[in-house]
Amino acid sequence: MRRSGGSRRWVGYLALWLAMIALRQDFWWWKDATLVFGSLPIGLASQVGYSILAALVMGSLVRWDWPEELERLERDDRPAARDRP
Amino acid sequence: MIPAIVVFLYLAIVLYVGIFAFRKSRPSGEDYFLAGRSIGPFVFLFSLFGTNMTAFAILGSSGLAYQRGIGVYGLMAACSSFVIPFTLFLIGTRLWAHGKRFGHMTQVQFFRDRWECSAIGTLFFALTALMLVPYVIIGVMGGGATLEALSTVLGPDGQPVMVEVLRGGQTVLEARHWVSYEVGGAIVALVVMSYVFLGGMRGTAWVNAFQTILFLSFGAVAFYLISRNLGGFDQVMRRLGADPETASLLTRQRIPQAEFFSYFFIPLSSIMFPHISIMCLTARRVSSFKHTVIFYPVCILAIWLPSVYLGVIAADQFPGLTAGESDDVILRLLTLHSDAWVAGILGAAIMACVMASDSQILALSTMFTEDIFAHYGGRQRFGGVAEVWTGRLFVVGVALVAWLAALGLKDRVGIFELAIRFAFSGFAALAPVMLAALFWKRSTKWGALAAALWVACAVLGTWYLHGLTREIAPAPGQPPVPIFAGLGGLLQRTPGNVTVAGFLPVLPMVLVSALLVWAVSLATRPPSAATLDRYFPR
Repeated sequence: MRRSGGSRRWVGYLALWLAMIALRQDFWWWKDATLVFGSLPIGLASQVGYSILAALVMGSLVRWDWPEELERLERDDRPAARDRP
Repeated sequence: MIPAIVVFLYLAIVLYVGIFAFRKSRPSGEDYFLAGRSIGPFVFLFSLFGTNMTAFAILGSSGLAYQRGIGVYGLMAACSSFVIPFTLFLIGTRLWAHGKRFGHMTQVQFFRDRWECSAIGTLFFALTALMLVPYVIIGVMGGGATLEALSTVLGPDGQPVMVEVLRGGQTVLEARHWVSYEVGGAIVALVVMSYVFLGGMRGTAWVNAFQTILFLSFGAVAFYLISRNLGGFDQVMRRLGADPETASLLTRQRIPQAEFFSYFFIPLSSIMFPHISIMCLTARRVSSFKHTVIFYPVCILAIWLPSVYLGVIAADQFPGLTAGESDDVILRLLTLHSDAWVAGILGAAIMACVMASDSQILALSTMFTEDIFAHYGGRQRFGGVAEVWTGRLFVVGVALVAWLAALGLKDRVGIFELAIRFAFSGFAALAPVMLAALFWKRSTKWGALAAALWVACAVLGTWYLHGLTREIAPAPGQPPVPIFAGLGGLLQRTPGNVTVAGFLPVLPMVLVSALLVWAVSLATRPPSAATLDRYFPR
């Protein structure tokens, strides 16, 4: 299998992880008990927003970073059991 | 009694799904253990998600939210909504590809082939099997607790009928149940065992998909009904906020920032759990992963938000519960705020999550059959049919052991604690090994071995320290206690955990594991060029 990308791709993944870690650690609302929409604590609302962001991030990865080389395998016949380790 | 009847009806349905899958099966190991690599995108998403959602996701999270507040969502769910789909995207797709090309059915087969070493596979089998067993026990414990709670005997006044029982040498009053914890656990173990025994991966995947849809549908209904009965959640939340005892539940004050940060690394465990990685091999096409990684965060949101939120609401409705008692607050809310039939249907939905131990049982069976029985000559000597029956008999054994263990562990520890302590950190710390195997040509079996030994020692060490410091553990809300004064607070004991410089052990475990794979691999000889050409073709 070919490598999925060069070092730029891995730097991109690292940057994405650091950004997602930082966004999740929203310490500015740590002790804030403000209720939004009447009954949703703001600290919970922000983390719900984070989950929605995660779905958007994954959609972006699928759109622009999908490992196309794996799709080719779908067209190939799987080798027989002789190749099994 | 009505809720229990509904749950039994549900159990009958999943049993029938297993029988139906049995009729579709063919007598081969690949068909029984991987459904012939034929799972379509819809079932793949829901079965993969259902497999990850156990008693821990529902009962554990709501019980923990009762104790520690709304931060529990961010603690486990928010990070899972990014880390799990990302690892499925990066690792799951490659595992699928290698499985399709080389016929792998387990992680261990991949490691053995990738690093040209049988022993490394056997070590990984032992390590991962040991860490998976507690997860299976949780399913049975959750099932027993759920059936017991749903079958509470009510008097003419609608209140539970209380009876005197002997606990720890003292007579205490407890609610009477039609189905006891022990019998409930046995029923759940028996049903799970039956459909896994008959249907294998096909039956398990179908049941998981059905269970996930059921829970996603009725989770929202539970939320609505409880809200309606309480006249909305606004007043409850304001009451919680106004009481100094409970106000911090609406914030993350009960969760230290270093602990919150550490939890980001726990979902790395997901892709390393054998049942998840094996399930990745069942997809018919790699494109099935596309929908899965996009909708996975949405599914997490749909299940965890009501669980955590209702856990906090329960702090207002049932104040003063201890950590073990608060595991069933969702069930208490349902019993109190909905009629019997609805409570039964919703109880069945909770059972859906509780019973996710099916795929762990199947994974253990697959690993034993493929990595031990077949690898050491069983398939050659006895044939493919014997291989499938070996797997089936192993399913029976695991279910029985899990039930017996669940009996012994009743009321000892919270469901959440049991899972997190022994399994999640260990599996998370093995993720660098998988990453190196898939993407780094220079990685070696010695690097993997060093990391695996480190993980085993770290898990045992944490377990030992946790037991050693049980007596000095501070009460909730109190500052952590240094474990060894000479280390200057490097190792500390919090109410629920041992920490390293304030962080959960998972953080140093993952970092050291990655460092060991890297350093030891560079110092040792890589696999042959032929193997590298197979896995990294130019």
